Amino acid sequence: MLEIKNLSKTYKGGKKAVSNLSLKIEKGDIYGFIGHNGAGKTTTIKCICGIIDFEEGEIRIDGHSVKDEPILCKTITAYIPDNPDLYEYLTGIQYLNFTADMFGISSAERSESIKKYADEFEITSSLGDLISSYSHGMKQKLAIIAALIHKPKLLVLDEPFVGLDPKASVTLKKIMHEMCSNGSAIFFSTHILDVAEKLCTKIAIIKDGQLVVNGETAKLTHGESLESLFMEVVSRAE
Amino acid sequence: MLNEIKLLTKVNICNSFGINEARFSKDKKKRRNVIIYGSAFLFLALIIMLYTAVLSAVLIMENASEAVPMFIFIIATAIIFIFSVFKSGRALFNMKTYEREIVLPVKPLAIVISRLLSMYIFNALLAAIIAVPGSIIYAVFTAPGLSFYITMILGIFLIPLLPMTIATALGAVVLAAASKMKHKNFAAIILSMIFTVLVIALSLSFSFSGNSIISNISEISSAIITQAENIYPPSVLFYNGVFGDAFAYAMFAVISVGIFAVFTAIVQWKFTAVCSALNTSASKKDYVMHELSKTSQLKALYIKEFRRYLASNIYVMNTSIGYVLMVILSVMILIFGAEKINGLFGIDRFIETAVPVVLAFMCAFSSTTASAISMEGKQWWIVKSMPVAAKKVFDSKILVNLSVAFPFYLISVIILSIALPMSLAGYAVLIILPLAYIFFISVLGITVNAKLPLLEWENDVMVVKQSGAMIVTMLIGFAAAALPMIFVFAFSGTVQTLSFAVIIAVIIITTAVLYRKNNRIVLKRIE
Repeated sequence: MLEIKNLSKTYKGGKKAVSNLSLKIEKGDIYGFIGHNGAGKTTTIKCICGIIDFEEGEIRIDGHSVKDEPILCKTITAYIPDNPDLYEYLTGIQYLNFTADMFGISSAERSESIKKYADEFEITSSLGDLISSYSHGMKQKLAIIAALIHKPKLLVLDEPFVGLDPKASVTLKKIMHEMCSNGSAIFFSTHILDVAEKLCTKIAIIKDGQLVVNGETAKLTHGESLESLFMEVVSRAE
Repeated sequence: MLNEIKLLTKVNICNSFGINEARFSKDKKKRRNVIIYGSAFLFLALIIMLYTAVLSAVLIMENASEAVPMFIFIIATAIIFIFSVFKSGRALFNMKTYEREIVLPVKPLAIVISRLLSMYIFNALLAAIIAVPGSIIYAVFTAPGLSFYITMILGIFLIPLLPMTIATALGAVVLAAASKMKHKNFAAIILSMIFTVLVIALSLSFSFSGNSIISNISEISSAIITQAENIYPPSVLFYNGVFGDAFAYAMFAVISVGIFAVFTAIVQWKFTAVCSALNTSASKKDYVMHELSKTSQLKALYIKEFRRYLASNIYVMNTSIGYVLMVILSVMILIFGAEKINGLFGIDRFIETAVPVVLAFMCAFSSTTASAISMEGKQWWIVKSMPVAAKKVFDSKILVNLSVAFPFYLISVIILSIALPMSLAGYAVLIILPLAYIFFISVLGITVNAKLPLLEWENDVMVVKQSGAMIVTMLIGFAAAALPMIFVFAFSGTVQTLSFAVIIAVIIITTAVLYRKNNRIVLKRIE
């Protein structure tokens, strides 16, 4: 579903954020992307979602190149950022309707999806309010609903559990499982190793822009905790 | 508290003009943008300096040298007022920085003073830019006494206080009144618009009043002084002070400082209440799901863009003022008639020839698109992550400017068609020339903003009033609109009409070329 080959990204000013990164995410995978602050997780995610450009390497989503067929790739992808900066001057429902229009979702389909997810995240009654009146968690929920409207084949999330209340975290995990059962793939970054350990079928650890280790979670941890593995591989890489 | 004020002011200034970005950013593009912005600002400063220097010299040559200090005073006051009005209210009650500063162990008074001081420093700089060239010319030609130098140097620090206070008070009143209303932004837009129209109408009524017509060049000096006295009474105190009346100058200083201090005290008293009111959005929590309708990508983007536009009163005010002026001018021509205005300039059929060019000029400095990309700010990721072509994103932004411009344009053209008897070619120029400039400035705004985006900002004033893209677009717009001005005075008859046709063709072709170029821009590279 997602194939990253030799991705390198250098920011203006010379800072190399990602170096020669290669990853393959299959249908049905819940792929955790782990690393310390400034390791290159967000940069990689933004390159996948077409938010920033990259100089070297290739990213393919469902066989399509992000560079050559950006619009097609975006049609089947959804992105949820770490900080949900949404259009504060729109109401929640206006934002969701706008997103549905951008993805060409039919009236019936969007109404059904929005109702389903808004009820699950318990924000239906607030959808008529301006986003500027929302709390951080509510914005995060709205960003998640907006990402799910078009039933993406690839869901990319950057620190999705930060700011969510416990119930919403459970709901999100349930939705992630449902999506993978239906053949979608999920790639997300996180700092919460417990969540990654329990949720992810595969994980990748990145340090200073370079992939340190990746593979199936169970095989990598060998019955130990993910925390131990993370500390071990990170210190080994130093 | 002095140290707190100093620190807060320093942060405000660094934040406002991209100083820190120029000093510490490793991104060459960002540093280049700051340099372009700085150069554009410097260019504007040079134009203002040149303007005041040349006009001061003209006054001296026309034996009206005693009017120079008054002229400097009025120009400085007007420019500071225009630069500050409605922007200052926003900057003073900036909610984002308020949240950050109010949690610090500082008094609200320190926050208020630091914000006013940041504005004051900019305005004092502006006063210096205006006052220094004219004063030097005056000093060289008339060799005044020591009191002139003292009063003019002191003036640089005193002149900004009153216009800045009046402008900030207007902005603050608008925001404070709007904060009590349900639709805050819409209320702020309407109130700002009413104030602007009132101020323009008031100043125009002074200009068009029969007494102000200068029939003899020797009357310039007394005309300037009388007019200034009518519009702005403190000018007389300053004027008399410069020419030796120490009591008048002391009165001017006391009034300026006193009113500024009283205003600071009032703002400090209501500061937290207004900031909190502006920061609160009503939450009803009573939404019930209903059937949602589907629209095209372009329409969805356009609606979103228009909502964004109306959500910022400073954005609306700054980008619609040229169009409002266009309608006011048309109404004035209809009321006073072409003959009276032609008589003012002493040129036969002047207004009939100049009006299409003046309309084009007003259209050329009002563009929502020059800041439309920057206004996306931290939400720019949304459009970039969506399956939409750059062309549709830019088209939606261009359509907003056209939607804003078109009603004003249409009203002006209809009024002027009634007010001015013209030939068929004249009507054609009146209709096509401003329209060509509206399209040109709409497309140019996108071109410039894509090159000079400012996506990291905390206050929309930084984008709408101070961004490099806005200033560069305005300068190019001015230059492009100044072009047909030459032909108004250089030619007449068929040659003039043909010249207009050539200009229209050049503008249309340039617009088409820029439009094609814009549509090839890769959105993710705008960062």
